[in-house]
Amino acid sequence: MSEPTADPTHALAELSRIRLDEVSLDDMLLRVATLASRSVPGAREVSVTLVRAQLGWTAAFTGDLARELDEWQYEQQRGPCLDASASGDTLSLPDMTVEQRWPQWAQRARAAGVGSSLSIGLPIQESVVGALNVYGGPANAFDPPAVAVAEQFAAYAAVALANAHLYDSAATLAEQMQEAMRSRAVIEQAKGIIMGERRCTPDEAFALLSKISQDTNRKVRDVAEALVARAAQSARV
Amino acid sequence: MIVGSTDQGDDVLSPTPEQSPEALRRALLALAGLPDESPALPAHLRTIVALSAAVVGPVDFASVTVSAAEGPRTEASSADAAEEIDLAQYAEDAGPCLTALRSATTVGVPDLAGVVVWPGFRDVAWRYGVRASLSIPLFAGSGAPVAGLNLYARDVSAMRQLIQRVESCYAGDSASTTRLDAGSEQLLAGLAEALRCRDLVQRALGVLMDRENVAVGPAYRRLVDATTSGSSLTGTASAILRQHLN
Repeated sequence: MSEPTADPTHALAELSRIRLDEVSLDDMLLRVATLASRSVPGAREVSVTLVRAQLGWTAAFTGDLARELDEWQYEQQRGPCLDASASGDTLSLPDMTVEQRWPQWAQRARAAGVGSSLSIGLPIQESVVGALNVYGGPANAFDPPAVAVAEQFAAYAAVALANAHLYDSAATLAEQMQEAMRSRAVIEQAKGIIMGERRCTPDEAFALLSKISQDTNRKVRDVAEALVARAAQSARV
Repeated sequence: MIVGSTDQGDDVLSPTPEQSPEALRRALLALAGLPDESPALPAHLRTIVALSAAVVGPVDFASVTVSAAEGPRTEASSADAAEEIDLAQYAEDAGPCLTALRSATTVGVPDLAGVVVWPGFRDVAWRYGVRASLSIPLFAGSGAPVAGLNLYARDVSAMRQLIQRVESCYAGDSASTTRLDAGSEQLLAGLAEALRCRDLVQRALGVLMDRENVAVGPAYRRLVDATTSGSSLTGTASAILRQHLN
């Protein structure tokens, strides 16, 4: 990968024109990584890490060097891209020869020809988090303006990821549906208990459950659970 | 004293080899009345998988996931592709089939391209041309999920409607103006009837808990013990509720 040649302003404008509902998350992250590698001064290769349930993977990368340096971290379960993902912070490793926080990884990076790197956490609060990783050839490849540009690209990756989450949650199912399914069995058991106590029909039992719910300002499910718990408790006595 | 029943259910407990939409509805209903530990359960699941793949319009492959001591496994699949997609989820211990089985809720993926939280599932499914999926928890007699039925489809638009209808069905809303193909309608009818069956068994368990002063687990055991082997628990549950009202 050659040194950056593109104007960051143009690259960011290009990203802003992409409609997130028209590209997949992977495509969007690859565009972010590619444009960042061309635009962040000092960048050699760029990748995007995603982490779910403490498992990391590289969702987009501009070259094997970035992917391999990321994957070593996933295997070892430690490294700047994982820590940046977890904290949302920007972690700068200006000189791999003196890096003390992740010495083994720094040694590996140095051997691969990477003298400095940035890992920028994507600022979202979801079950999947991530980081934009920018690898530079020499030490001190990234001055403060370069870090600021990289952070702007990370913001685009974060928006793409947050949007994908919105899509995912819309795609799966509403919380209320899960709630309805979870409540169903316990409400029927409670109806049976009331039917047993009062020798009434299922509809009458449900009407009583609803009345208790309204009178006590509790959900029907909570009333039903309390009734079932009471029955289980008396069974142990 | 629990009144046993042999008056219904015997005929519907045998998996039906015929490949008709109506057979799918009957197979789903039969499963709901089967004791969880019945030796006939795997055969029922195999029938449901085969029929789902054969008669439900949007579905290209189907499989069923069950929990085993060593972890989740595919009890039956209509094609190697379905099993491969399941395996990708087991390898990551994450995916719609496991979520459906563990949370007892339906998990629809109307467009695989938008999936981010299950990369293993997404990549393998994509490779097999799958673009949408639906995982549905299946219940046997105890009311706890015994399996997750996985429906995999290449056609996003056809699957989207099926996902919406199944999710509405599980949310207790059966009203719909959209009419789907005969196989999808029989799947929906079977799922709705199975849920009503489950409701009836749970009510009967409540009556037993009250009458015999036991918790839900022992109440279920008594229901199973009172049911003639090979018969549906639904028959015994109906008898308990009838007896109670008299």
